[in-house]
Amino acid sequence: MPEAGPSLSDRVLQTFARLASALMQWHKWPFLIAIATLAGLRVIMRWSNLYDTETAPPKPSSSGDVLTQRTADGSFNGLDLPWMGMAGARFGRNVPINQTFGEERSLLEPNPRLISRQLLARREFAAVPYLNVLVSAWLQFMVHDWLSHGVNDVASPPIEVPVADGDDWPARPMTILKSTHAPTTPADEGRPTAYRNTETHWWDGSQIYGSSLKKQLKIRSDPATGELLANGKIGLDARGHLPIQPLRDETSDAEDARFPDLELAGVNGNWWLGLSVMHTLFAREHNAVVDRLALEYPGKDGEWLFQKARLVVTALIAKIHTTEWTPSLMNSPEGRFAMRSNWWGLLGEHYWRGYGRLGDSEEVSGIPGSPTEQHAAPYAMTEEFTACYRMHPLMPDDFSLRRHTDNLEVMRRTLLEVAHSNPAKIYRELSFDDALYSLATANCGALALHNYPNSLRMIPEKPGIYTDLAAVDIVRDRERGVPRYCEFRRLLGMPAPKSFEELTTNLAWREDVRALYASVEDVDLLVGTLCESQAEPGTPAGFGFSDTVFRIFILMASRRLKSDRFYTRDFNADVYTPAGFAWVADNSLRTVLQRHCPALAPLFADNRNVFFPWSLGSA
Amino acid sequence: MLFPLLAGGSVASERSDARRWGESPRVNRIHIPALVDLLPVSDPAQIAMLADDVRLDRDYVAKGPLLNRIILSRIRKDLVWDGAPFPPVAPRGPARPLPAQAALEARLAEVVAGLVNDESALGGLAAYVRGDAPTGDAGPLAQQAVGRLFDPGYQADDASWQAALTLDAAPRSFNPLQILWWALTGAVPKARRLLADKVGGDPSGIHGTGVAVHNIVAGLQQMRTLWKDGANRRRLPPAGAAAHCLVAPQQVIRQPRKAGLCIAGAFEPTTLVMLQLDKAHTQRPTAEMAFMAQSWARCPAHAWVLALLAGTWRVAQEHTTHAL
Repeated sequence: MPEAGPSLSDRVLQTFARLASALMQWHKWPFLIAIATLAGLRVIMRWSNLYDTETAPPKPSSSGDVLTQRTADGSFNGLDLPWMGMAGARFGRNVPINQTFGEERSLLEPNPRLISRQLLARREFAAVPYLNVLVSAWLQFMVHDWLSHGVNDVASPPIEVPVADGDDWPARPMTILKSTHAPTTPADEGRPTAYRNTETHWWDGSQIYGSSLKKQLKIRSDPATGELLANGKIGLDARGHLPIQPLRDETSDAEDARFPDLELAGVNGNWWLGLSVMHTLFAREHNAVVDRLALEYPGKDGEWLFQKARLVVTALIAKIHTTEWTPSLMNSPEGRFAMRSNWWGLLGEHYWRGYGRLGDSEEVSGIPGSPTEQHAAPYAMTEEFTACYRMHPLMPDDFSLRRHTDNLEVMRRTLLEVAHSNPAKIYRELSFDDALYSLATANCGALALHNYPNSLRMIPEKPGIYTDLAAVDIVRDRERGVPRYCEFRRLLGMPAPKSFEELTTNLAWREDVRALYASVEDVDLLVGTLCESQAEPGTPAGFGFSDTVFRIFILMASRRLKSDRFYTRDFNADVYTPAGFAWVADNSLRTVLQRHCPALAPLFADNRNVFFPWSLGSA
Repeated sequence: MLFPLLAGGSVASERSDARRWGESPRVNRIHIPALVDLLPVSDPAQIAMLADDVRLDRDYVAKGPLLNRIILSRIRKDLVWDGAPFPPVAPRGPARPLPAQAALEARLAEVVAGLVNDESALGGLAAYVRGDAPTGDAGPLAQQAVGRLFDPGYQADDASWQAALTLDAAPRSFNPLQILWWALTGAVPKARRLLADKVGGDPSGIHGTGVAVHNIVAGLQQMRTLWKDGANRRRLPPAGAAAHCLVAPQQVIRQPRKAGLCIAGAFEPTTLVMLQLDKAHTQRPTAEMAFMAQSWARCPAHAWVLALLAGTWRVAQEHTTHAL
């Protein structure tokens, strides 16, 4: 019987990881020691870096089959805690709750706008030559599945950020709306402000399917008639594109209800071409799964087909993220092995496909199919995870949209010109395949200082009103009590730099940071992690993100699977159906692309990973 | 820890099928027949459940193995006034919280609003936190702050603070020489009387200025350490500092009225269930945990203590701009 605490083998791993980490950073060790250290670090974090903030959980109402289907709002995934992970539940924390009070006196120290201008603003596009822009698109596609803080607090006075003389910002002061906090109860006495996730916390495809039944029914409707599709499919137009959402539709995301011609999806806030491509691709994949299941189980109705297809598509997305996307960003032997082991275990994919699981161990046969566990706290996305996924430098400012047949440029667009309602307009001049090809053959940006997209530093919201997302990113972490960089590392059990010299080896960056911060202890998490790309020991070889961020990922990436009943005890052919279960096992992003964009297949045929840049088309 | 000798000495171990987030926790009952029978519980979720378990109360009838009897008899001997136990160690009774406790909680909640801007009350504590006052000042300063809840003219001094140290140590000490000295000199009753005289014989006041005050002092000492870090001085908000420096009681004891099985394991009427709040608070560092705020046994000063700590930090910040 499992215990509330690490098992004996986990304790051994913990001790080993502590010893190894005390001597050297994990990524400096040889392969086997590095892997064992990573496994031990994950155990440590599972028991030391998960904190529950909930004091008044939302009340789920059950309807339908909660045992073998995902509910629209994410409730009843945990049968003993039905509210766990549902839309509206609070974000958890990865650091002790008493260390997560939002900053007050120091909220604007140093000035977030100055940080935006002097440390983050992109001077010259620093690209990652071995990754394509599908990496950025996929990342946002995933984040929209996992979390949203919802609309900001319009009732409270906004945060006023002083704007320096000589700054071309159009308003003085710059104003930033506060985050909307969760309603408090008496049990919140002495606790920091908590925030609610308006999406389901689970890895359940809610960016496609929505986090409410109302939204789910909307995406399942025929775009021509508005009637619910009886066949269990997602509504697409005649060209296989997402339908256009009616303006100010009651199910739209509040911040994007103002855009006409916005494509409809479960989550369509901050929409841009990359999201449009991913959503379209997986809406088509859903419908392909429905076709397959309908063929295999002809007596089943549309509702059953929809729910089973959702399970399958969602698991396929989780598998792609675990075994393709993340390894592309953790492109080292240890990184690839660790992530593939999360899915298939040490025995690997071939053993899994040949013989299935060998026992319950997640280490031996992977997390999918192993026992469900929550470790130190009920499952929830965390504020620290949100902070670590602030990866806007991945986005380019400019897009060259080209034909895949001959690589001829059809149009050039800025980031804002491919955002919001523009994808639908672009598809009038450019095919879906060409849009996808354009992203797959362009490089994403590097997570480094001075590489934040300038387009996002002045986003027009309303006439005369703009948002500097870089400044907002800084403010949000401070407002929500995410510890600053040095303290953050200490709370994760990592050594913290003691000086600016230890923060980065880049001399110019060092002086830039020193000019703004009184002490290295004051350096914001985002700035610190971006500096890590040029630091010693810094970012592990082949990694696209910092070691600090990676620590949160090894905890939370596993947790998204390990806490979810549908990836653990109910990840089987009985729940998924034999055909559905096989679909998950047999497919990958490569096969999804081959199925829905067969003309592009030759361009990525030689790629080990489809998130690496594709071959250019030639006439 | 009431019994440091036994803190790590798990002699017999029992397992239960109790659940914690879908798992069963490790249970360690310390049971040596005729000598000791303790069931320590440090899991926050388990403590929350056991705190409201009506089978577990604070009758503290001296029975069971030898060490259990010693513990219980000391509580009943030392933590009493006028023959009645202090409210925090009184049985549950027909109404909980006790009417006096409920009234105190309501009164303290009213005091909180005034405390926020009461620099005369907070100035000395803030000076201590800033390091402008000697290390030893924390005790009398905190005692005076607590004492003024019961007597506006309360003046703490060395004698009253020594009395608090004695009363706090009396139920826990296993130093035979000290126990002998106390017995010969009557130090414990004298300390209790001194403290009682200063608060008009209010049992909650005696407990507050003699026992509970030590948690506040420990918190102020933590705050003083926190203050030495410039980053904390600049960035830590008052509520954050208060949460950081909240110190939970090491443990509270429950005595079963009959044998049974609970989430932490099996118990007998002679078992003492030790709710280890300090350990639980480390795992779940919230005020709710430190004060058992959701249970019938909650500390009536929960809001006041938080306000005192937060206010102290705020005043320290406001009066030390040069240090920021």
